[in-house]
Parts: sequence; structure tokens; C-alpha cells
Amino acid sequence: MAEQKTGPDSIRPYLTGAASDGGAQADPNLSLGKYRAASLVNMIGYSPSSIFSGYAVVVLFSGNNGAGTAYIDAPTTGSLRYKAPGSSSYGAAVNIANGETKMFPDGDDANKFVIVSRVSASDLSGTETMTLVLLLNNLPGFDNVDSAEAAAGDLEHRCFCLKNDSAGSVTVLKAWIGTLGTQRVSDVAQLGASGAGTIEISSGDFSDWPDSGFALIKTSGGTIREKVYYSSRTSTVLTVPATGREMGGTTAAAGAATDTVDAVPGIRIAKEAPSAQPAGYFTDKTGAGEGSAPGGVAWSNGIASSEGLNIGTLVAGYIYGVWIEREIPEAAENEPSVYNYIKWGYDSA
Amino acid sequence: MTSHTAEMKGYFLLYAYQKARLWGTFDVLNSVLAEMKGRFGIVEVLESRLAEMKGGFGFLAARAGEMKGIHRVANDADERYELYRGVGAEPDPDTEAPWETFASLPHETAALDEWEFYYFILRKRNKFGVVSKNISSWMIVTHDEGAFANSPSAPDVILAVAGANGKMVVDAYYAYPKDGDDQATNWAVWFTSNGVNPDGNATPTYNETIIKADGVAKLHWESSEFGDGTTLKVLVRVRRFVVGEGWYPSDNATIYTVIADVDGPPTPDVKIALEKFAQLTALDEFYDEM
Repeated sequence: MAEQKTGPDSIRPYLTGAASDGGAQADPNLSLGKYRAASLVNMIGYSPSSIFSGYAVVVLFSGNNGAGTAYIDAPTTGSLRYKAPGSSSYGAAVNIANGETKMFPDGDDANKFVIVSRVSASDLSGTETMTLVLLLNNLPGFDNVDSAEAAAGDLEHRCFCLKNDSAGSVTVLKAWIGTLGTQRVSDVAQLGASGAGTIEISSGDFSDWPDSGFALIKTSGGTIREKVYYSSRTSTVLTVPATGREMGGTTAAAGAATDTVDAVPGIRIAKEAPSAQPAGYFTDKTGAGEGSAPGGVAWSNGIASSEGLNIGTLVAGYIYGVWIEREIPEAAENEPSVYNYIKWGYDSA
Repeated sequence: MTSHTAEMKGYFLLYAYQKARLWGTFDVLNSVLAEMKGRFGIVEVLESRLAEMKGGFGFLAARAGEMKGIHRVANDADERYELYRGVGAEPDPDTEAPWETFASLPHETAALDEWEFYYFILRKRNKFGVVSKNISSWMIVTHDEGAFANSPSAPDVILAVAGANGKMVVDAYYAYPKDGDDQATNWAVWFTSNGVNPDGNATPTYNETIIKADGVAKLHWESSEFGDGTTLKVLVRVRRFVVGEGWYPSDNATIYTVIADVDGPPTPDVKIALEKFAQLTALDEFYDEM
């Protein structure tokens, strides 16, 4: 699987906000519906972009790579192979001729890949060490929250477009929200029916959770009970202010000792079919602005493929819109790095 | 689409003779659960709707995509300067709380004690809560009128060994150009022979004006002779004299101890001295090129 736009590269996320399908629009903050833009969502920052003495250039890294050090190796003068951050092995070497663009999957996880274009017939040799970073203020990241917005609370939106860029159909396409820490059980203390409170655990800790952020509370049966914002935490206690209740469109409810809690981003997502396939438009909020929510969509706080958006089958070239709503509660704590995380999955050849 | 050849046995729905779309779970030799399309030939019908088949097929693989992004949340009220203070030692701003915080510069600190070495590190916290990571400190010495001045840096090399006939022999080197306007003017040696640590705040046992010629000042000092086994201790500093203000010593506090030896030959220090001298020579060259 060496061709781009196949396999794990079948579905690509694009910005929206263009005047026509595939039109120019590269600002993630203006990705507010209307038509699919030509620009892909920037998922990973990387350096360098020109590699192997300028004989090749990096086109993109899949978002699954995450941050870290990656390696692109030239085992022969006409082939490359890739090893993602944290991986133990290179993917299979793939021949690439001058003028070709190929996909190079990692050896451990084919969903981690890099797309490279060769721009010279000169021999490739050596190994390029790539630095990959998560991006600030890309589309899923949203823009920064200023002091006034943090004090008063804020609701903003973005829309991106998933497009099947492969030559075949993809099936069971789903999207959901990724988690930011290890799931725990609130067995010591739970929130009351309303107002401020604490969530406390006895098994494990919150050490891999953000210093402040959002928690998705679920019943032991997996039903979402409430999404809340916690303003601070210790290793075992989340402190939830009164203004941190009923996040993500949920309703305040007293917790139970068997509830699970997950660290989640302060976002929820919704799907929207285009007006027509394969080049239709989505709800246009480019005029109303980021504070205006699209109507007629069903928002999801789901954190698993079975709980998120079920888009279904996309035949070759078809598109589907995904809206993101970011919520900032009143009196939000300042934070240097607040992560948003969106995942999708599908079956393809 | 990846092509595979497999032998299968299982239950299936046959829609048309020799051209079928199959759903179900099959025993595939490479342990893949697949939705299959293609042409299959029925080799042997084992029983109704249970067949052994051979054929070619492609399978759909599960794919996963994801994207992350970052934003920051501001609080203008948290934007400030954070001043860390160490007394006699550098502060650790990564583990200590700031001594003072303030919103703008210039800033006047609370009163400082007289005749102390103070180290200060000033960091800036922005509205997102991100703090600068600078670790370089400023050192000042307060004197008895409340003013302050910079002290010279410590000697670069200090060697103290047992010399012949129960003497202590001290050699020290100080690369004075690095201190610019705050260069030391004198060597100062505090020495004891009673086992008690020398007091750097007392009058020095020995004071010598630094001769500045080649970028590295040298001190060679020998104590008087003592009995075998006597504990000899020494503190060596450089210091700067400011007219009308007094002495500003370097802040090094290491005390060197040797045991007087009248029986044996002096401790050979030639090799060490040569090593140190070679380093200092390199330092001279460095300053010469500046």
C-alpha cells in the first residue's frame, strides 16, 4: 500500500469556508461551513520539509503520528521507508521515482504514515530525522481564548469536511472525541445534583489528566450522565465550580460511586450531509461568525466509535461535514496548552 | 484492494450460482474476518448451506484517523514578573515560590540585609500562565550603607597542598578579564592552624594586590611551618576595593584542609599545576582573541 489516497490515506480532512468546492481558503478560523476548501487540515507540524538534500519534500504526516522524532530512511537510492515517533520498526521500503508522490507507512502502525514527493532524479541516501509537533491554533485547536472570553464564557464553532479521496468506497465511517487521560471511577466522592463539588477516586490517579479541563461522567452502564469542567485537580480529586456544570449540552445530575470519569476536550461534534454529492455545501456560518451554531444538527459527546457520529459509507469522491463546538465555561482558568482531540475510523480496501 | 487466496468452510448465503456476495464468519487460514465479494467455485457441498469453497477475494481493513490541536486560555490578571531571591546561593525558580511578584518595571524590592550575597532571577509569566525559563542570576552584595555593588567572580583554580617542613602551599588563578568593570583588585587568604574553619568576614591572614599582565592573575602563598599532623585550613578569595565603600569579595566559600607533614617530601603538585596551567593558557588565548 504505497500509493497516496489509498488505505489509511483514503479519508482526508479539509477546511471549509470556501466559495466553491475546492476553492481557496486556508484559514482554520474561517472554516465555518459553506463549501469544502482546497486546504487540508494541518494535523501535524514538522521540520524539515525539504529532505534528502532537497531531492524530496514532505507533503503531510497523518495526525496519528503524534509528536516526537520520526525517521525517513533511504535504504536504496530509489526507495524510502518510514518510522513514526515511538515506533520500534520501519515500514516496508517503497520505491519512489522522480516526480512521484508516495505514502510511507510506519512498521508498527500503518495509520501512522508520511506522504513524500520526490522532486529530483538524484540518488537518495541517508536518514532524515524529523521533528513532529502538535499544532497550536490549527482547526481542531481553535484560536486562543482571551481574558474577556475566559471570564464570561465562550462558545465557538468550526466545520471540517471528511472527503473520500480514494478510488473506492469507504464504509462504516465514524467520528468521535478522543480522550486526554486514563478513565477512572468516582468511588470516593461524586457531584451533587447541582452546584460546585468534587469528584474523588481511590483507585489510580489523575496524573495524566490536564491541570484543568473537562470530565465526562458516565454511569457504570456507559450512559453519559454529565460533562463538567474542573478548575483544578490533585492526584485524586477534581474540583468542579458551579459554573462548570452542564457542559456540552448535558444536564446536571448527581453522581454515583460506580460512575466512570474520562478526561475529555471541551468540545462536542455533529455531522452534516452536504447539499449534494460530491461537491455540495454545508450550513454557511461564514457570515454569522464562529459564535453562531449550525441549526438542525445533533451534537455528540461520544468518546468511542460506537458513541460518536455514524456517517456510514462514502463512495469515491464523496464528502461529509463535521462541526465542532468548543465551550469555555465562565471563569475558566488560564492554561498554556488546552488540547482538543478528534478521531475517526472506517473500513477501506 | 489486496488479493488473497484462501480455503474456507462455513455458513453463507448464496445469492446466485457461482457469483456470490457473502456475509458471515468464516474460518480463513490467515485469521481475517472479512466482507468478501467475488467469484467462488463450490468444490464440495457438505450439507445444505455448508460448503467448502476456494476462490479469490479482497478484504476491507479497519482504518483509523485522528487530529489534535491546541489553544490557550488567557487571564490578563495573571500576567506578571516573578522575582526569585537566593541568599548566599542561587535560587531555584523551578521549585521555589517567587519572592516577589509585580506587574511592571521598574520595581523596588523590599529592604535587603546588610553585607549579604544576594542572587536574583527575574522571570516573566504571560497571560496564558507560561513562564520564561531563564536561569541566569544577578548577584549583588549589600554593604552597610544599604547600597550594593557587584562582586568579582571566584578564582578559577585553587590548589592547596602540604608543603615541605609542615607548610601549607597555596596556588590560585583568577582570569580577571571576564569580570569587566567589576574585576578584583586583591587576593585575600584566610588561614587557620587550630582546626577551626577560617572566617571570610574577618580580616584576611594575607592580602596581596593582584598583578594584571596576561589575563590570568596568579597567587602563590606559603604558610609558616607547623608541627607534624597539624590541621591547616585555608579560604582563598579575590576581592575588589571601592573607594568610599570598602571591599567586595568573591562569594566562593570552599575551605581547603591539609595535614602538615614534616617527615616526608612535599606533596607533588607539578602534574596538577601543569594541567591547570594548560587550561588557563587556553583561557588566555580565548581572551586575547576577544
